Amino acid sequence: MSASRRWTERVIARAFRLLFPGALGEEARSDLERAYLELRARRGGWTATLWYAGHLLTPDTWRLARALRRRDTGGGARFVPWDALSQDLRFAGRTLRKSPGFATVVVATLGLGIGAATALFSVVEAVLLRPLPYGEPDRIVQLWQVNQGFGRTQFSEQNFHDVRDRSRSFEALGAYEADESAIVYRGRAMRATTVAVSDRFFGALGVRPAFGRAFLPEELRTGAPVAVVSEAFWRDELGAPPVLGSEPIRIGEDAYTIIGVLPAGAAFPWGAGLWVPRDPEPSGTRTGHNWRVIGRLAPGVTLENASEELTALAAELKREHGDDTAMVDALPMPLREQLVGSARPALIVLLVAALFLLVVACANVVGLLLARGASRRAEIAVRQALGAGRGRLAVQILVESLVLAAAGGALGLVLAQVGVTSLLALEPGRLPRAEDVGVNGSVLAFATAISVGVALGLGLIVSARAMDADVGEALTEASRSRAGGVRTQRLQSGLTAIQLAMTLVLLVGAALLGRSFLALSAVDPGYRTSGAVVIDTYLAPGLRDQLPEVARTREVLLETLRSLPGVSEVGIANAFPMSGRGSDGSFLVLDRPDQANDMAGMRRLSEDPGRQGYAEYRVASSAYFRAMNIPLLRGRLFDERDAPGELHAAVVSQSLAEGQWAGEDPLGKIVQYGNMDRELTPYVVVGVVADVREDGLDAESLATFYGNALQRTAALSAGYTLVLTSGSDAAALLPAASAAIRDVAPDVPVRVRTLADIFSASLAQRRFNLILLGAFALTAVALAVTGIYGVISYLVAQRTREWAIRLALGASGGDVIRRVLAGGAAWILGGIIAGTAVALAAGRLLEGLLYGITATDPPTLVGVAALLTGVSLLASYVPAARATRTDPMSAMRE
Amino acid sequence: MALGDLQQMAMLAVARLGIEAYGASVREELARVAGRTVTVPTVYVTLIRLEEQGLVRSGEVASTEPRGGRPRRVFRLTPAGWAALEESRAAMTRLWEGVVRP
Repeated sequence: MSASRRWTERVIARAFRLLFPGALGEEARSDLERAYLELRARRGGWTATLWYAGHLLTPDTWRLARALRRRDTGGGARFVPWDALSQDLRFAGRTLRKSPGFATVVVATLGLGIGAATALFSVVEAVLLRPLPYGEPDRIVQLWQVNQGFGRTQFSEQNFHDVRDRSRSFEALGAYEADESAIVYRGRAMRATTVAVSDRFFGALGVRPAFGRAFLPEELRTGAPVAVVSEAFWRDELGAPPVLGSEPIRIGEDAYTIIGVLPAGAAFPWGAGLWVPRDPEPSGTRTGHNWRVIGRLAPGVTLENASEELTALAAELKREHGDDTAMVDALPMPLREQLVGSARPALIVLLVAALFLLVVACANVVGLLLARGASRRAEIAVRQALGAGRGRLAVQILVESLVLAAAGGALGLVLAQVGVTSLLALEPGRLPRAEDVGVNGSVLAFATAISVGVALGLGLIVSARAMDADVGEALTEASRSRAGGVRTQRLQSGLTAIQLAMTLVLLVGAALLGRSFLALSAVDPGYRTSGAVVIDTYLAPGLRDQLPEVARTREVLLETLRSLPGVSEVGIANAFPMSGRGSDGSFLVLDRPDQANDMAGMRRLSEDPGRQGYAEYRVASSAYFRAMNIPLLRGRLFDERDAPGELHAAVVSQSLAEGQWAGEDPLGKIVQYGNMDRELTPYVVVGVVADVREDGLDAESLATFYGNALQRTAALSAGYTLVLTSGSDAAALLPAASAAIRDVAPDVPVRVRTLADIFSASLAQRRFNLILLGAFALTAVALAVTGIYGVISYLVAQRTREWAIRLALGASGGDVIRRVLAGGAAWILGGIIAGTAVALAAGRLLEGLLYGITATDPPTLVGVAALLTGVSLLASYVPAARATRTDPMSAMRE
Repeated sequence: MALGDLQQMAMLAVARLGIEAYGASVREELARVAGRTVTVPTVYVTLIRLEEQGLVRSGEVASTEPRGGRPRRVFRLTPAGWAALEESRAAMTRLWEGVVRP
């Protein structure tokens, strides 16, 4: 924000420097600047800056500019172009002041269009265009391991080491593992994204601490308790201590010393708060894929080079290690693409929509200017007859549209500022880099560029129209007090057709998004979507090994929540749908419980592909299924039969049962899933539950395996989710539940939300796109209707005599209306057809945002086209009906 | 020639300020003594017009500020300026003669 103000200040100061030449001008300029700085100190913010900018427009500023130029050129002599321009400016100001209604409508229409486009541009600029805040960001890539059959995954420890040691394409390669965990600072518990990073991680990112230091090799090897924090975390959570290291951060049982703070803006990945050193074990696993990898391309190495080298390397490792590694390929992706790629389709669609809206708005303004130009043709013709040059007149019209566009642009900037603020408030928090969005230098440049573009476009169209008429003809027309001509009308009709076409495209887009939203809202997620409170807990990594203590806290928490008045069920699970916290992996189907009692035995069995299965792995309690309304389809949920010494009980989702054991009875099947939590007691399947849409409504249900949470507590040690239901209003439980957790487990950071909120948030992105596009479409419809109304009114007024004659000769009102509508129907139809064609062609852009409908859905296209045709005809009908009320006598006398 | 209201005030401010009469100080004097707030460009436009009419003259003077600012253009009244001011006052005085608020 302050950067954009500084930029604005500089621009204003430069403008004054241009306006006020010479030593005296310099004195005036510095006086003005001092007055500005004083005001800024007192009032601050944009108020002062607006005051400063406002001075550019005062008459005395221009008078002074002229006076200073007179002095400079030694009195008498005149600076002619300058004078002409300021004369034009004053003339434009005067004529616009004379028709304030016209000026207001034009400025408001332009402001709306420019504002929408500018607001969207400022989002696109910050998210998609601005380079990442790292050194030479285009060289940073994210690396993926590609596994047989599963596609992209994270790297295993050994594979990372081998790739790092052997590749030549990278200046630095670093691995990281991010986790949301609980930390305690000065006795206050909070949650933060904590990232364990390898050697060269910061090198690959191209950052070094703004103050303090990064990790030493020794610290990386041993995983020393030291931490580097982000600037935001240092400022907001730690209270910006000037000296680092005096107060440690507690993560679990370990006290971490803060040794460095990264520069502002560096918070990779996912707005990370702190980074701790941990090199992946060189002797670690080759099959567990837990590390994400980033790299910095070596100078001169392209993405293609790196990609080829990685592919060759992966093949080499596959040859060496055979079945010990699942990696068949490795793949680099530009980091920026990785971070913002998912946001691109929606943003592009919305920006294009905003630009369409701008065009629609401009078409309206051209219509207004033409109508006004027509009524001024007499004046222009008189001035031409008196010897005004065409160039001079054209410049004058251009200056007038510049003044209008400048005012529209200024209004647009204000609207954009408001718009961006409300956009971000509406935005569901999924937009990457949203914190960078704001009106800054490039946004101002964009707004200025489109304003100037608009001014030139408007000026050229209008001046071409105003002057292609023969002076004599215009004067005689003027004497008949009949304005305009066939050509103006044709131009205006053409513009309205374009306007209709664009409006149709916007409406089709909004309708498609709306229908997608409805289709999605009708999808059954497989669990209840309201009437429960959901509590996410976050545990510190250090605590995870202290199972008894964690278990005790969990038991107490469950017991306390159960005893709250009004609570009917308290379920627990290690991950909640749509939270992204659960993990997935492959399991083994056994013939008998003791078939694979160790990892070696599992490896042997896994060579038989018939024994392998793959599922989302969850642990949950039976109360979880009841609280979530996930119906039991067969068998039973967990109960007291699942005692110590027995096999661990599991229920599987319907899709897992059907996929894995088609035609067989899944109940009683024995499954080894020890690879997920190192607990080797096999599972026995005791029940089948219905599918849930784990990744959101628009994703298919995943095959899911649920272990008994009371038997497999290890899976809960990274944090878990509690689901509370009550007989009555679940939201009423929120305060009591929060208070109970603070009492029982003050060290455990939690997030307490209602299920309804979570569910609504999962649709927020789509709702956001829909609201925005819908608003654009409705605005466009309003503008287009006004435009059509204007054109038809004009057409009716043009031919008043004709109506009078026809009516006098006995034509009925219906005849006249039909005639008027026929005049407009051709270009209305043209606009609708052109718009349908554009909508069909532009559908590709929308495809990724739709659900259950194609971008070329015929009913939507036909419906919208029909609707818009109807609205257009209605807008034409009103002025047409006016034609029938023409009084023949008075019309003929004119 | 008839002097405008602001012209008269600016000239009086110039007269009062003596060697300290430059754009910024004239503007402050108008605000401080006469309670007349004018914008920066207005003051300079007024002074330049007065100079063009030969009522004031100006010359560059090194800054008197301790920190050493830019040179300033200092204005002073010309004999014609004094004459115009005195004429204005005399005209006013004559007009006021015999005027009593009813």
